[in-house]
Amino acid sequence: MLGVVKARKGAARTRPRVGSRGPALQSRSLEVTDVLAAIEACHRRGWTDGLPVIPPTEQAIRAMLRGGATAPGQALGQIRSIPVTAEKVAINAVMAGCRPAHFPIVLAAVRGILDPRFGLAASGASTQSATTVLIVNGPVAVSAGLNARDNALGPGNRANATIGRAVRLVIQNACGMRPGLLDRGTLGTPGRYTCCFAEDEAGSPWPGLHQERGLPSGSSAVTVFAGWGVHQFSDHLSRTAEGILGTAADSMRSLGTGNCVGGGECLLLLSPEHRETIARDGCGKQAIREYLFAHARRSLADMKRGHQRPGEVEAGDEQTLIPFVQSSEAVLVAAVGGMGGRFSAWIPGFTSYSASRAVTLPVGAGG
Amino acid sequence: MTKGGTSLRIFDPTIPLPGAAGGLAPRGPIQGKRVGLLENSKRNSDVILQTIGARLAERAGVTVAGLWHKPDTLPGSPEIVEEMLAKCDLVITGVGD
Repeated sequence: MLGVVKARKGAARTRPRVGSRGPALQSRSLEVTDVLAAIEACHRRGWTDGLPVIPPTEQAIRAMLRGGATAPGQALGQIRSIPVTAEKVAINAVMAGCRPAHFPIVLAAVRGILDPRFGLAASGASTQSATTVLIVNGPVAVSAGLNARDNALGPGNRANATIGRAVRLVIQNACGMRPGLLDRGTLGTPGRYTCCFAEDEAGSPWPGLHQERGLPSGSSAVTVFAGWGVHQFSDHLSRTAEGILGTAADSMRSLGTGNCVGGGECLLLLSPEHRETIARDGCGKQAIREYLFAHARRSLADMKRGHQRPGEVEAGDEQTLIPFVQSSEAVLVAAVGGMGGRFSAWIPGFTSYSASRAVTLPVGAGG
Repeated sequence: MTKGGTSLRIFDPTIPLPGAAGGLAPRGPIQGKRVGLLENSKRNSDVILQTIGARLAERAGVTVAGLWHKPDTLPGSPEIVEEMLAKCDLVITGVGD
């Protein structure tokens, strides 16, 4: 095979231990002629997302593990009863282009997606094509260099791009959710290349998402959320909280979205100018969540006419309102985005509350 | 890098899927076997599974041991798996829409 010098099964069993390096790596390895051959070998084996990857050499993998202060054999959780180890996650993080300083975030995120509440077996495989959204809070977001402001959901920042990509590669490579095989997404979504950003806590009038979800102020955390595509909305005219949240609620009760289908969670991303208006009216995150739970609803009659529920419209259906989120707690609110545009966005949740919900975990040394 | 050259050794990021090496379960006659049906809450999945069960009973001489229900598309609970292991020789299920 072009560029491949030699494949080796169970490198750990055939390589001498080097004391200072720590335990031997357990993954198979192969020798290639140079960096370009390594990149091509990764493509050929189906290890990439279609973009080139950084060759996962032992030196780079060990640097990544040191960045997370973790041992290669550390299990982060299970998928189909098989442990996912820090070593496998480190290999994928190297390939994604992460710096070792990013690795604690990747480790916490992988623990999150392997948490049974997250429901990866469904969200990673379903025809719904959900992506895994990562929201990072606390000092680690700053030290990792994550972007929370202009273009936070777009390209241009290494930490945003590579941390999200690392988790995606873990889902594909270590968890087996390979497109066309276990990943049966009807359409797929661009967010499956990467979807990671920080919350702009310094620019927010409200506590961080992680605080609302039970972690202390000043701590570092990552929240993983299985969501559909980003629904951006514009509201340049409202000068009240109710005006902006009314626009958000109207967008959120669209027919055919993940929340229309499953009525689980959703993620609302509020930009600085919308936040300023909402906060000026005395609204905090809890009031926002309660408003959206109350107003992101649609009548059963509408749902039937819109082919979202079976059957003919019957007496009482006009008065029966279907909530599009499970509860006010099922609305996740984060401060994200730059100045200079009264745009915000919401992301529908994957399927129902029982099948998938967001998980927030602290980020710390040792994964 | 390996000694004396520009070649390098890279490591496999994948974890093999369970069963990928084991292949399919042995095939054989199904007459007289107990067939379990496992539906996953997808609309009409109960209808199609029960129809398949009835056809197999009629044409292949199996006994339908029952229809089990999962509330969602996540893996079945250990209780369901244990009960189906005890009561069924083979199981028909499906995913998707």
